[in-house]
Amino acid sequence: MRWQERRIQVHNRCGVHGRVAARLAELAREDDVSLQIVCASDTVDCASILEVLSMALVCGTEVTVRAQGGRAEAVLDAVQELLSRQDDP
Amino acid sequence: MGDFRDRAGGGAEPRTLYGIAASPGIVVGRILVLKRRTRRAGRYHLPPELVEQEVERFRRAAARAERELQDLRQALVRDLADSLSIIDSHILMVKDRMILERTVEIIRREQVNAEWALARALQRIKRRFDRIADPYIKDRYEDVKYVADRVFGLLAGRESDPLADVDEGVIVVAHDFSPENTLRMSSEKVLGFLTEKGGLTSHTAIVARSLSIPAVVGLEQVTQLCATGETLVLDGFSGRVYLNPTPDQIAQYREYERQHKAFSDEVAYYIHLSSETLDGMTVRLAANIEMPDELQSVLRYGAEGIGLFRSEFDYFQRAQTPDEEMLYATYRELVSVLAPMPVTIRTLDVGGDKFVDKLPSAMVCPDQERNPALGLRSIRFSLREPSLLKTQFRAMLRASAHGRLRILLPLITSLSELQRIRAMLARVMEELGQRGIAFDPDVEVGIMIEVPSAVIMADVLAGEADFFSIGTNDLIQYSLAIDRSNQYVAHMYEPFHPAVLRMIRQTVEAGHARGIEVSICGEMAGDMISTPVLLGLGVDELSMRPSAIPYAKRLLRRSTSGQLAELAREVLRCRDGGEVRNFLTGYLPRHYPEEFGSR
Repeated sequence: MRWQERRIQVHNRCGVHGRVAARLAELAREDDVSLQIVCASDTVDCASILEVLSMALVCGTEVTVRAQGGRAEAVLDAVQELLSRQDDP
Repeated sequence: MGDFRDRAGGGAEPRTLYGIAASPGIVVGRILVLKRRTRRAGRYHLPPELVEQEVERFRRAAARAERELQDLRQALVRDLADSLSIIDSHILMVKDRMILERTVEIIRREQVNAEWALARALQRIKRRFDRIADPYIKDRYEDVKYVADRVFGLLAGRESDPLADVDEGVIVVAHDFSPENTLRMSSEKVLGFLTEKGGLTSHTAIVARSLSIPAVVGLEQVTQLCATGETLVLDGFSGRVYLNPTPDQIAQYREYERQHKAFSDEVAYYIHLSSETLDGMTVRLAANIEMPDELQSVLRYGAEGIGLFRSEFDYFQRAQTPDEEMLYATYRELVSVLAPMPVTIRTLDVGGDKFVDKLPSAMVCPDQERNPALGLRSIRFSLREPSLLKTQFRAMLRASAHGRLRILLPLITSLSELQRIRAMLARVMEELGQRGIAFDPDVEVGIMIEVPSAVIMADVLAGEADFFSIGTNDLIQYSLAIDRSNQYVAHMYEPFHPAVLRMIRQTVEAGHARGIEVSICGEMAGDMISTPVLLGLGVDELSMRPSAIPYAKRLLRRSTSGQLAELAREVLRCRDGGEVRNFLTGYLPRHYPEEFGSR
């Protein structure tokens, strides 16, 4: 199956920290979608909160988010919404 | 009781420590010191036939750790949302592939024991987190350690409840608590928390507040200063901790403790009432906060505005200095949520003891300062880095279009300093005006009164400032020449020193003579014992930790303006701090029997 990709800028005030990363992991698990974040030369699987945290995505970082699976589009929408919020989820 | 007296009388000097008041309440109790166990994960080679058994042992511990976390989560009531989200991320971590799969892989490939493999997996995670510049995300490695510690403990077959053998209530003292530890300690056995690490927004502080257990955090080396079985007094309102208390102190605080328990529920009722005396004199009770996340508690405790927003957080949570947009977003949120109530934002207040180690290196003064409290700090730093200050002004002015924003300038010592800054602000306004950007042209500009020269010149400064805010912490330090973190002189730090009270009085009079508001935003404002005195001295606003507001409001609503003024007159007649305290010891229980009891 094809990967769907989207460029998203991180707007969360404190970057992708614990709660945002936790929510990403939930999104990846919920719909049985493979969800990855690509930043510079790093690619991580969103199902791993530690890999996501260790990318240190601070406010203003631009990333590529890729999803694969039946509900890929919807999950990407949710990720976009999550990363565009200035406040914590 | 006699037992406590014996112990207290037994030799060791009474000593007062000053920490950060993280969760309100007063307790007297014996302490239990939890020393952090240093983990030793030795390496043991396993014969091939035992490898799968070892994998199974590790999986069981990890699964049990997850189950424990799930149980904890279940046990919590709904309104502990802050704590729940911390536990949720820990549950995700304990089953994260960087921990789970990686450890199993190491056990199998190297045929080693689970502890060793887990320690190796952790090392790799640590190396990745070590490279992170952003301090907020970097700190999440602490969470990884908590989670791993739980698994290590279970692997060692240890039942991890340190309170299992305790049969009376204790004050638990530790370097730091994991949030789960804090939560597990919600049992009746725990009277209070005391930690070396942490600030108002640390896990311990958040969880303690949601459990309504008094806590003081940020007391360096406290685990070495006291030992299990000793008695101490913890005052979660003021952040003070009394080691080896005298029998008198114990008796006094036991009484406070009893009263606090008795009325803390009732106080919630005051949140929605107006803050006025029985005869209708109003005083604004506002909140001191340092990050927008605290807005919820500002509203929850019925604050009538923000009397002090410490703006440092935006500067130190990430590697880069924040730009105008980021600051604007913060200020606009505060101002628009609280409108029409006032939001007082203090300009960057760094240097001295505050944040000096976190300044971006380009801005740090290369010469070590010999006397940082008297050095390049606060507004002096801002004047040396005018571009920083201008950016902050632009963000503040733009936010002023969305509600009532007040600008507060710290550490002003002379009129010319204030005039220089006002001129700078006027230029920024002009620029914004030319660019057609909306702002409030009448934005109020106030100054902190926190050095004796500002008190003495208050009548002159009042001509150029729109309000005064008295910062008692620095005012006491600078007027009594006391560094309260210095153990040799800390006992001389006396908020009730008549010099301090007279300076407050003088500032209030100078402000009122020019028709400007005078507020107090130091720790003293949130200390119940000083509240009636400060109200009597005629201040227009007290700004304090949000959770202290209902208590102050209750005191205010039980007073009359005449009685408060009389109290201030009495207190101003005292000749030293001891006399003031003696007087209050008699006065407060008479006039506020429910709050201070009869002794």
